[in-house]
Amino acid sequence: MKNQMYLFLFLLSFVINYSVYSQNFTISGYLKDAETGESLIGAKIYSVKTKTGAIANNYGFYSLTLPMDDSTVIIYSYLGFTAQIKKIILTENIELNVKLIPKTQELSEINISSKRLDDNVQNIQMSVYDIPIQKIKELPALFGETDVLKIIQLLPGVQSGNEGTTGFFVRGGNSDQNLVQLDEAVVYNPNHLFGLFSTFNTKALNNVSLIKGGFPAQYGGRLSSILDITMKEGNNQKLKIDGGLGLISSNITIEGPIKKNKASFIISARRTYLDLLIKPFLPKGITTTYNFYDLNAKINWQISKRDRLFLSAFNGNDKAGYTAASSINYGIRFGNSTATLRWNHLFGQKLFLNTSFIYNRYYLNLSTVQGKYYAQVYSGINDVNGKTEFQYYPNSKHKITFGANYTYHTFVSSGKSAKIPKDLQIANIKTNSIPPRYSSEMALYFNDEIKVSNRTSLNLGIRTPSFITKNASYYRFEPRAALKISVDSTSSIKAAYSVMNQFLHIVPSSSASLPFDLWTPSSQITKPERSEQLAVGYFRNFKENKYEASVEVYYKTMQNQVAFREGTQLLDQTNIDSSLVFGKGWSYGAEFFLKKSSGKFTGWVSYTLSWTNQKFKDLNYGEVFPFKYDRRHVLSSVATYELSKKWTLSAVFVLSSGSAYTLPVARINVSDGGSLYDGVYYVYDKRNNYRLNLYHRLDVGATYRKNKTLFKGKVPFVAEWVFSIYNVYSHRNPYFVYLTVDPLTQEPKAKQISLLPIIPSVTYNFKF
Amino acid sequence: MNTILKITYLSLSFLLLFSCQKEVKVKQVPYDEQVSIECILYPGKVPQLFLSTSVAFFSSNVSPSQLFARGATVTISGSSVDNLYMDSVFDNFQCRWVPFYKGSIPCEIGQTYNLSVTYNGKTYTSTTIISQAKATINATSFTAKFHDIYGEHEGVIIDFDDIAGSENFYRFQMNRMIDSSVYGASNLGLIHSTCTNGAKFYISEFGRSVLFDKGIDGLAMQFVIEPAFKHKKDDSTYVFVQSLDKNSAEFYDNIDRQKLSQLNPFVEPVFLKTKIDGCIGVFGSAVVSDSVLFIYPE
Repeated sequence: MKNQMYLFLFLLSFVINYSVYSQNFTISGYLKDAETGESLIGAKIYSVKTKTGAIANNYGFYSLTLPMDDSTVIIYSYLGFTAQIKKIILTENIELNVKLIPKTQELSEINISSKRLDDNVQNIQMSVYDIPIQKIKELPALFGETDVLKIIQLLPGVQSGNEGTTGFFVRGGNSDQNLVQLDEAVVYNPNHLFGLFSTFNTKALNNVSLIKGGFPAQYGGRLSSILDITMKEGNNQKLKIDGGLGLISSNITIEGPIKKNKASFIISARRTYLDLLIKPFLPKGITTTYNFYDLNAKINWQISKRDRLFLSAFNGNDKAGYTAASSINYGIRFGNSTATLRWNHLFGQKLFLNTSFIYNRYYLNLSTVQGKYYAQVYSGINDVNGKTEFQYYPNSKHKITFGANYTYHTFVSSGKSAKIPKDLQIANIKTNSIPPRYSSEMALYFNDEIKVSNRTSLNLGIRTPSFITKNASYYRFEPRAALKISVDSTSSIKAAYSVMNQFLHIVPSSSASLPFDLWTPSSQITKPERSEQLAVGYFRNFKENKYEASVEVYYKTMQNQVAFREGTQLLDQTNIDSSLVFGKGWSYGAEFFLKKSSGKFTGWVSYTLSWTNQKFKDLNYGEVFPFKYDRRHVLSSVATYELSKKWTLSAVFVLSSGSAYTLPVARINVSDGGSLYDGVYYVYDKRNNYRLNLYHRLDVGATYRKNKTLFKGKVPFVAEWVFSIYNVYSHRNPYFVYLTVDPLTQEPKAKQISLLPIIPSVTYNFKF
Repeated sequence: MNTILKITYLSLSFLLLFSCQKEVKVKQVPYDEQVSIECILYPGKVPQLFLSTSVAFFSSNVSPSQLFARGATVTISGSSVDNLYMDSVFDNFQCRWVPFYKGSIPCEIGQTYNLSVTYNGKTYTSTTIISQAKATINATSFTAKFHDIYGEHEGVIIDFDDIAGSENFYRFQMNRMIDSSVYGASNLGLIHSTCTNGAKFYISEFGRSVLFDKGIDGLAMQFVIEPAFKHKKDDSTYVFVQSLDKNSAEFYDNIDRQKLSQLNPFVEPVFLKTKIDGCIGVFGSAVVSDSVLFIYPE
């Protein structure tokens, strides 16, 4: 702790030294959407003379320091918006807030990137994808529910979990190795309906970024990826209503000014009615209850020229029950709640501060029955989190980010599994009697993005995370480095190295088909997971940035991976450390990406070739085995075509190798001692020795958009019909395979469960 | 619009409900059969060795006679060399022959034994010593309802004292006479004898679970055993406690945990761990306590 304090003071003095050295003048301010007042995250500011620039941060703030000049030309640009060119006399520091005007539909070409067109080549960060929110809405969607996590699964290096689910696996990492945060608050389970939909209502989102390698130092806590989601701030110009009526759910978003240009709000809600609609059509003996809702709300307030406050909240809950005469029965309730209070403050023009206080709560209560056995899991996490981050722009060659983060975790987890009692009365886990486990997680970090020359940029960072819990403390050091060398104006080579640590873990169940997300913190027994990743890539744009392409290769090692010990049966366990075994994993592969960003026809193709293996001393006889989601080939393609001003067509095709699962290879007789049961036992040769069948699916969609006006032309009204067909040729993709053995003939049979056949859907969206 | 919605929901429900499950042909991974050896020596009894080969998983040929490895050379050497020969016994409950290799020299307590099995040109060897002390049963009783990792079941309760000063491993044994009206318990519940025409026959069943005395050396111990066969009030049985050697205890504990994972879909799979190099199996010993009469009270 003392060392961390010294480090922090050193970094602060470093920053102060930079300010003293500075002699130039600074232009700074906020970049916003002129129509809505939303921050333009990632907008570009470019000085024509010096050929230097800056990027607006997550709050739309920019700062660019340039040499004194009586005629400096600055270009402000953002995709989908009309660029503004400003001629500035730079003889003093200038504060300049710029509002960019959105291009009208007729004027603009559809773009599928939210950032600048040459970002692929020029940005020092590699392995980063910004998800185009507008584009998501036009792609075919399961049940018509647009979903940001489904789009992420179509990116290179990202694999989906089981059929139809939103769980994702990045570069050989498990799903818990992805940090999903909404307005900086961790969302532990970003899924609805067993993962078929994500909890994120796209209509409430402003920006979504996925980082899967070359992590800047401000990010940490997970080994494999960061999914950073920013909610909209709310229109601070006029009241807007945006709604949608779908087959299984409806949603509405209302946003508007509280005080014009000063304060605004947004509230967005979504609820399903699948349970009510499907009820009359269910066969006798089957009952099901299912509903979920989510609610997003945000207020922002410009207190002064230098201060802004944001208060955002999210609440999502799922409740499901399914009962059939003889099948898998289950009852499940889970939910996430987050609240974030953020304060932005500007110290002069070069130092931007964001301080956040975050509370989040997650719980999962699952009870399931399969055959004669049942299992119950309760997992709850409460976090109280405070963080502060400085962004310092000393000159046009440096962008320094440093800060501190503290989280107090409270874990309440328990699980049990046994044979169903004869009276069929299964006692629920008493959540009040589960002893909580407390821990503190802290981190200090420092990151400098350095423009070494016109061709070379460097990103150097360090992060010092620590984790303190009962009987165990861990202090770690994480170096981060990234390098970009421009080959020419259209291509660059990038490399990145990062070390990450993870103190919270989900123990994957290799047997259960339902989401057994039992979170457990690091402890004396369960050491923090650690990864080291090296990635190298070549990036090239073609035809004036209409096409962008990249090839990345990576190698990642993962230490202290967790898994359940063989034969683990949860028996009212509140501390699962003793049921765990530990090992290592490693993943390597190549990722190819080709994207067409503008024009009537847009889309991308991504292909990933990868290998992921694991080795645990106490599993698989201590030998190497493939990771469950070690899929050799994953191909995804996404296409949209603007047929006319009213019609847009879209399609998604996915083809991937089957994921791995474990089946015995043989059977033997044990005659002496096996008399209670049948005396036939299984011989396994290797964990994950079988592969599910090839996964492939084609989805198509069509969007019909009509612009109207209401109230005698005073209020513009946009109506949209979105038709989509999921899994057009109804391919029975595997969800999981299980075994049954006939007790009389002793003949085993493998049965495959498939979830989603062809599913047509229609959604009506409106906006005024 | 209502009609369109109705049709859409109907087709949606239909598709969701009827597309769920199908039997799939799993292409078996290449597999070379393995030899399985199981031999537990009992003092005062001649050795019995079950020698079989494993069979590819999706094969339905899993009866003891189908898997029996014929033509092997089996010797057990103690104070003298015992050459085992092929023999078999009829399982009256499952109505099938169970072949095995049988010796002719009774085993002795305190003796070290070396096993040698040569089959298909390969030789497998192992050693065991019969050095366990005999346990003494203090009391027996019955419970109609008991909960443990196997779930809820009735149970025969056996109280005994752990033998102090050594590492011990115990399992249960029950001998009784039944007839064709008696069904198996648990997942053998569908089975009863179909070949004995009402005649009584003798069965000897061993408990699946193995009790380890780690941390309770010399203290009172208790088994609550789920019997393998159904019973009626006043059925009489003889119960025993077997003291196993460490190898046998670990082997039977391992296969018990595997059976639990086969039956309970929420339990992680368990790989079999062999105690004999080059094959699957165990060569060990058990010392059986004196019998105690137990009569089912209900």
